[in-house]
Amino acid sequence: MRSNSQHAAGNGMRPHLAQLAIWAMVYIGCRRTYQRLPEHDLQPTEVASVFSWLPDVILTSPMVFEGLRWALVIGGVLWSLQLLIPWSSWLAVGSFTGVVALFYENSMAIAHTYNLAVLLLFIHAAWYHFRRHEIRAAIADGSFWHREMYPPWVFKLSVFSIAIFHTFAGLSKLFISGFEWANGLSLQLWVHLWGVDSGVKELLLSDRALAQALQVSTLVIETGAIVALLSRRWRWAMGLGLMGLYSGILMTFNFNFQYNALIVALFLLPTYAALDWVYKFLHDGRRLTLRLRPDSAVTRVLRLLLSRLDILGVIEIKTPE
Amino acid sequence: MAADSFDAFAELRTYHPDMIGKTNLPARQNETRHAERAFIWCFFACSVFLPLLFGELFPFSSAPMFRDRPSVYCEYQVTDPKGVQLALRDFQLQRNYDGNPTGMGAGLIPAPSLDRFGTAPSLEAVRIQIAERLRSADPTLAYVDVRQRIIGAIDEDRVGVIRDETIRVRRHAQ
Repeated sequence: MRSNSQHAAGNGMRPHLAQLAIWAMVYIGCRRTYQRLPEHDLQPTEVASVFSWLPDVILTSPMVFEGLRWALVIGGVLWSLQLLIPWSSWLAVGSFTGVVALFYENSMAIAHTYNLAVLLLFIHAAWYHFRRHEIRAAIADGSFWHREMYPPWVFKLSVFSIAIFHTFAGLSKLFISGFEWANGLSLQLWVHLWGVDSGVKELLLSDRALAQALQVSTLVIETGAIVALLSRRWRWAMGLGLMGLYSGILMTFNFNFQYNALIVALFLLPTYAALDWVYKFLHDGRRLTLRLRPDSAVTRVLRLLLSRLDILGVIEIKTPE
Repeated sequence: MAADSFDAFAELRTYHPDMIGKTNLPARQNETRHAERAFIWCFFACSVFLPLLFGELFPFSSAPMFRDRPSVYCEYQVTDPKGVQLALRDFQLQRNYDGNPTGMGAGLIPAPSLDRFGTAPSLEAVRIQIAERLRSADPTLAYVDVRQRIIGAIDEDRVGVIRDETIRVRRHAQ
């Protein structure tokens, strides 16, 4: 019978992209989300988030919010170092969801800055949960980064999550405003109100045909994002389209969509192929070799760190000749 | 790379040609594949149906930002007799709109406001609103000046201020 860590070899992808994504999303959660609950004197609605069923005393508690923020930091650091998995991954994703949800529960407005990060972390936490025995075994024997342990369903579900989010964005516009949404005037008004002062703003405000062309492109790219599921080429094409869209948004407005852009770049552009090329390039005799006594404390510490952080296998430890 | 086309179950089938029940893999791995399959379906269903049912239910979303099609919007300024700007919210003229449908997915109902992004109320409507709010305002406030600027299309290519008017609203005797 094959060992747990051997079991997954050859059927998946190497986990370097997944780890990079987890680090990025944990960083966003720990450092870039809301820092305190907003103060207000407004009346509550009924349903706002998946946590709306909790009693008000919890939903409005600054202490609970602060506790969730600390849980996110602790869970995020532990998961990033692959310690106490899969519980650290659930702690990180649960508290990340809680921090944002509680903020929205105490707010009259929302943003779509963290939806994708939370959903993708959730998918990856599920992977760590379902394959915890294989992952633990592979980390213990130092083979985690070298085995094809990243299940394609995790990658594909992540792509689906990104694609459906953007397709809903396009469909929302079509259902509410119809094809007339792309009339150029509405974009000009948003730019007039929120546009960052620049040449791009001036250009858009004075050229409705250009604004209309950009809105038509937005509608096509967003609504069509779901075709990223069809093939690698469609995925890359949609990745390019969405990156163009986000670049335009970030140049024109001061919205916090850079994290969504990062997630699109990681999963819809050929980032995995690029990382894997670097991996193979390094493993073609170009790795940094350290010759250390196998029983020394330094070797043990280094092996521990490398098994958790060296996603491309840059460093190789060998015994002295 | 194994992620060429979208079939989230392909890998599970690879592991298990005869997936349901009959497999030569250890029982724990078989259970894992079943659990993964259930997770994929649940996640798929939540991602599709929760946005359709609720619009917004963080972290699931129908991404409604900028789904409207405004043709105008208003900017207001309220000043006291000394020319000091007063809080718009005290006169229910604040802008609640931030690109998303107002209040959607948020836990609090926005404070009432005459301002609706995409519409331009008449000056008479503004006057009535301000007169009403002055009843509960600082009693030393004899009047306020309200400036309404309407932004919309000024020609076939450009947008800008299409109307800019100021009215004085006096406190009525109680």
